[in-house]
Amino acid sequence: MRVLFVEDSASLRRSVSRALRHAGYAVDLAADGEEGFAAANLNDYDALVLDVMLPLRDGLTVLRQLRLAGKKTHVLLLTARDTVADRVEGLRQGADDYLVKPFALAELLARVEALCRRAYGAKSPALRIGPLELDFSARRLRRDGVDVELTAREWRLLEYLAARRGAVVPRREIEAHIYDEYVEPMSNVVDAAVYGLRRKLGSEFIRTRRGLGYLLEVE
Amino acid sequence: VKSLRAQLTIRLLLGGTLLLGAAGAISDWQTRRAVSDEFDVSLRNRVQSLAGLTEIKRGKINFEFAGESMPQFEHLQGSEVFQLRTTDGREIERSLSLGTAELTPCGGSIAVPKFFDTTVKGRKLRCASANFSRGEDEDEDEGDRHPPQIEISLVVGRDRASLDDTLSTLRTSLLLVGTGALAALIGIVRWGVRGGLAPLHHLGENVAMVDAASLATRFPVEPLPEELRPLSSRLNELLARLESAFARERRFTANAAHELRTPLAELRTLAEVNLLTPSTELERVESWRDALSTTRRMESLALRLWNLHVSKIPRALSIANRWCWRRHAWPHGSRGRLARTIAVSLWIWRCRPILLRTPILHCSASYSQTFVPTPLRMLLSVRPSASLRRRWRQQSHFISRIPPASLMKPTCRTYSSGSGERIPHVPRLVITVSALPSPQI
Repeated sequence: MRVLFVEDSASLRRSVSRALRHAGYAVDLAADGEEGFAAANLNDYDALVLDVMLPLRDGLTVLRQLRLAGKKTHVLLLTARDTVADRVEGLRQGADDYLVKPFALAELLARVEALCRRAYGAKSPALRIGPLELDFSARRLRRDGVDVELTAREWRLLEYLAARRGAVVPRREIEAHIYDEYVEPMSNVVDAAVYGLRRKLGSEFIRTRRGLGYLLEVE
Repeated sequence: VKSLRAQLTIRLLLGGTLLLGAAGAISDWQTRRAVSDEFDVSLRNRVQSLAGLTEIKRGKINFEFAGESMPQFEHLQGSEVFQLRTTDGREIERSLSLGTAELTPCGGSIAVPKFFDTTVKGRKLRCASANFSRGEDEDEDEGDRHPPQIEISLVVGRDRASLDDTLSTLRTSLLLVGTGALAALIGIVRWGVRGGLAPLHHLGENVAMVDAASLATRFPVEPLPEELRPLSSRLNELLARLESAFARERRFTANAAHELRTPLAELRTLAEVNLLTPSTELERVESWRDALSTTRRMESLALRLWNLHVSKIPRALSIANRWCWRRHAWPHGSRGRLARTIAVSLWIWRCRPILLRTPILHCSASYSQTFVPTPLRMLLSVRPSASLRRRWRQQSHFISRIPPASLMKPTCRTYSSGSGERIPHVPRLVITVSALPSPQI
C-alpha cells in the first residue's frame, strides 16, 4: 500500500514515515501544501495523511482541490486544532478521518490501515483465500495453519494482490502501489517479487496473464 | 440609605413636606389675620355707632342708647360690652352685660381705635378703645359763642370665643388638608420615582445578568431616556471590547496550545518510533537532533509566554504615551511652534523590545491623530540603550506613514538610578515623540 504524508515539521515527517515504512507501507513525503497537492494529484495513493496547518497552501484547501479534481483517495487529517467546529469543517471538506496532535503512533497506523482497507472495500482486518490466511494487522501469513515468512516487499505485493483478488492487476499498478518515490523500480522487480512469493506459497495462487498482469485466485 | 430610589424618595418627601408645612403656616397666618381683621372692623363699626349716640345738651352728656336695637348689651350674658366715661374717669354709661367690671381705656380714636385683648370675669374679650370729644350744639339765641368741648372715652368689648372657634376650625381644616396632601405627595413621589427610575432599574438588571458567557449582549439605546443613552452606549462599547478581548484571549490560548501540540507530537512520535523500530546509527543521531531542536522550540515558546505574562510595561506605556501627547504635542502644535522637539522620555526596562514594539508604535500613531493639529505630522523616535540599539534600528520603520529618512538616528545615552549609580546593563528605552510640520518631514 502506498501512502502520502504531507507535514511541514521535518521531525514529524521523518518519524512517521519511518513508522509507516516499518509497517509495510510505501511512503511518499511532502513538506508543504503545493507539493502535497502535486503529489496527490499525480499519483494514485491508497491513503493520504494530511496536516491542516501547512505552508503555501493549507491542508483543507489541498483536500478541497483534490476532491474537485475527482481524486477519491482516503484522507486522514492531522491537526493540532481539536474543536468540534474544526473537526466538522475538516470532515465536510471531504476528509475520511481526523486525528489530533499529539497522537499515539499506534493509533495513526491503525487509522491508516483502516483507510487502506476501506479503499478496497474490505472491512475485516483478516482475509481467507482458500488455504491462505492473511492477517493485515499483524502482517502475518499462514498456509494450512502454518506460518509463512515473507519479506516486506513480498508482503506488500501479496497484500495488494489480495486486496484486488479476482482481478488482473497490471505490473505498472503493482509498481505504483508497493514502491514509493524513493525507490527506482527496475523492470523485473515485480517479477522477482512474484517469483519469491510463488516459491513460498506455491505456484497455484498467483497466475500470470501475459501482456496484462497478475491475478490472485484460488480454484 | 444605599438605594438610589430610597434616597430620591426621602429627599423628595422631605422637600415636599417642608414646602407643604411652609405653605400651611403661611396660609394659617393669613387666614387668622384676615378673620381677626374682619372681627376688628366689626368692632370698630360698633365703636363708631356707639360714639354717634353721644351728644352734649345744655352742659350735660346725653347718651341715647336704645337697648332694643342692640340686645347683646342688655343682659348679663350678652356677647358684647361697653363702657363710656369722660377722660377724667367719670363714668357716663355702661352696658348691662358688663356688670360691675371695668374696661380700661387705651387711647385711640374713632377712625383708628386701639384694639387689645382682655379677660373680664373669666371671659376673653377683644376690645376697641377710642377717645373723642363732643361739644354743645349751637343755639341761635346764644350768638357766636363757642360751645365747650368734653373729652369722652369709649371702650367696646366683644366675646372672642366665636373668633377663636372659627380660627380653631380653620386650623383643623388646614391640618386635615395638609395631611391629605402629604399622603398624596407620598404616593405621587413613590410613583414618580419608581416610574422615573424604571429605565435605570431595567438597565441595572440587564447589566447584572451579563456574565462571561453572555458578552454578546447589547443594550438598547434608542428607547432609553437621554440621560441614560451615553451610559448604555459606553456599556455596549465596553462589552464589545470585553468580547473582543475574550475572543483574543481564546485565540491566543488556542494558538499557544497549537504551538505546543506540534512539538509534543514530534517528541512523542519520535519516542514511539524509536521504541517500535530498530534504528541505524544515522537514524539515532537524527532522532537526538530532532529531539533537541523540538525542545529548544518549546523552550523558546515557554519563554515568550512567560515574558508576556510578567510584562506590565505595555499598559503603563500606553498611559504615559497618551499623557505625553496630550500634555506636550497639542499645546505646542496649536501655538504653531515648529521643528522643536517636544519630548517626554519613558524609561522602560526589563522588557523585551519585541513586546514593546506594537504598543509603542500603535499608541503613538493613534494619539498623534488625536492630539496633533492637522498641519502637523507625527514623528516617533526610539532611542535605545546600547544593548538594544541594534534591534531597534531594525524595527524603527514600522509605521509606513513616516518616511524612514525622517526618523531620528538612534543615539545612546547613559542613565543613572535615583542614587546616582549608573546601571549600564539594564536595558532601557527612551521613546521620544515629536510634532513636526509636514513640509519638514
